[in-house]
Amino acid sequence: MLELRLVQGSLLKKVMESIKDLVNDANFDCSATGFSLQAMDSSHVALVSLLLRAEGFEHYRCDRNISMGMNLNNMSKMLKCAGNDDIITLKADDGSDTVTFMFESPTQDKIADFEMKLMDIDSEHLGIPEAEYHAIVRMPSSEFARICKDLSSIGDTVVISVSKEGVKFSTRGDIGTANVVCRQNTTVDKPEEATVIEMNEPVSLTFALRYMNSFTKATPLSNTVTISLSSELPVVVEYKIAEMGYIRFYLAPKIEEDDEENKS
Amino acid sequence: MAPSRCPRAVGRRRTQASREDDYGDTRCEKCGSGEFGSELLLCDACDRGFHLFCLTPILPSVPIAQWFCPSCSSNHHNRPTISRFPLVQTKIIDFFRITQRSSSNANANANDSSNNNNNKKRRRRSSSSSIGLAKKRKRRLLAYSPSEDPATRLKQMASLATALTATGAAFSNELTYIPGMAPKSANRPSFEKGGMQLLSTQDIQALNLCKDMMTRGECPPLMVVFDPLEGFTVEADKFIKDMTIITEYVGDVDYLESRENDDGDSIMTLISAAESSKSLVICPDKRSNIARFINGINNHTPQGKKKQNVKCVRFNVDGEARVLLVANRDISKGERLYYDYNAYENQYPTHHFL
Repeated sequence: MLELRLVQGSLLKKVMESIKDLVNDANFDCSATGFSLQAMDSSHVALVSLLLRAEGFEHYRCDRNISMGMNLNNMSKMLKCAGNDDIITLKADDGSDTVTFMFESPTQDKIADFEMKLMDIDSEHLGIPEAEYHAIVRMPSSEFARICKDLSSIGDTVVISVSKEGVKFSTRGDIGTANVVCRQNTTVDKPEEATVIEMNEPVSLTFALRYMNSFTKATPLSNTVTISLSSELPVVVEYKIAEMGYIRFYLAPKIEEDDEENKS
Repeated sequence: MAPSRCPRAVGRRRTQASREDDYGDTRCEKCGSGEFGSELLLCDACDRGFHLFCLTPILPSVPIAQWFCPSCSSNHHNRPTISRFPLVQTKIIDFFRITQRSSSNANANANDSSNNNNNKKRRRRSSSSSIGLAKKRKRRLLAYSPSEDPATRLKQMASLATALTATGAAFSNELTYIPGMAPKSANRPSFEKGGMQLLSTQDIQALNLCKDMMTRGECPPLMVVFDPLEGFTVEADKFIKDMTIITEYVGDVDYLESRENDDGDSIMTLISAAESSKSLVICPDKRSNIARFINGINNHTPQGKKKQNVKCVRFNVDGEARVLLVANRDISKGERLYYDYNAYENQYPTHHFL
């Protein structure tokens, strides 16, 4: 028996909007610690990892670990029917092949329930090792989203380099080139507008902008985004979900075929 | 002091020059080092040097025939070149390993492995009837389970077709005996030094099922991919159970002695006879199937053996020696296949393999 009650239902709505274009079907894993998801996009270039901790829910009951396979597009259609202030409850019975979403308006005068069939999804879980990243950049999420959108009008790949000058985003295309440099800036009124760069080693990696633009759909979830880079590893773009968990996007870099190093 | 040393130094220099020959100071174009001279290959067109292990894809040994470096061969059109985009998009699975499979695929496996279930039942029956008998219980070979979706199978066959075309070979799923090479009568397992193991009747049935499935277009669930370092390599496109017959190693059957100077990298021992004139090899250069693209493990590193998920075994099948590639553990989808090229003899240099 699974029953999760989330007072700030808008969080779940925003989470769905941020992943439904990247992944079509995925398994939601519920355990005693929380509600999570790990899925790759169809091209196996990007990976999304979501965690909503049990403590963040007003009521969390999960009798045994279950995996619910859902079509994210359909789930998003149902969640769109919830108001931004609604309280969302997710229910699933043991052995049942459906999941129920219940939306209660904050004034308790309107209650809607939606039932959706679950799917059988073949999923492989990838082990994501704990790693020391060469550089970690924390910046306002809206600024990062703006940079990715601006650069994608010039080129289709972005080179992210972190050096002592700051973090540089560059691209090149038919019409020309573009570079955006963000320097460390902690003297701001609000802490979430600061740009903080921790650099252990300078690093420079190339990524496809179209995946970056689908990651930035998660911008409504958090004011800041954390970008962790390491040569030899996928970049991690993380948006923290207030008091509940996080959504992390991993993107495999593009490399020169000539100086590709031994990865096994 | 100096005068007494000079003649010896000159003598040393002279002998060293004759040992090293004129290319003593050639360096590898990729890494810049002049070390490992015995593995430094010189292009027959431009004379530039390349280490075997610095090339993409890596070469296992020095070719006996002419060899041209990548830039010269694209001018000469001596080797088939595959056009690539300048930047290669890597995949998430190149960095993160698959750790476990979700339990939701339990149903999927049950449905498409009905013949495997039958084999399991038979295994249980046979073990109860032979209690206390041989310590080694013979495990049954299973026929492979092809992908259900015909579109997926088409993609798998297309990837094999691309690889075969790139290497200039035609598809064949059987051992071929070409006039001028060894005849079928030369393929006698009795010649094998120490004898060859017989394939049991049930296993022959599994093998024939594999062959029949192939004629119906139900190819093994494998995909040929091109890796910039390893070259063509094969990965599983679907979960493969332990002891599954993946494919047979096929090609033209020829005498070992006729192929002494052949520097193809896919020649497989078929019969290792006491008299070398009777030894046979399989040469998949002209006619072959997917087997020749499966890569080998590095026998010289401790982690090389761990990569092995397929074993290459020779059997006496109805009086004919044949080579089968069998999974030796459960293989998940997306895993690359590797077997030991040197399982029987130690004739294949693998120290530069990944």
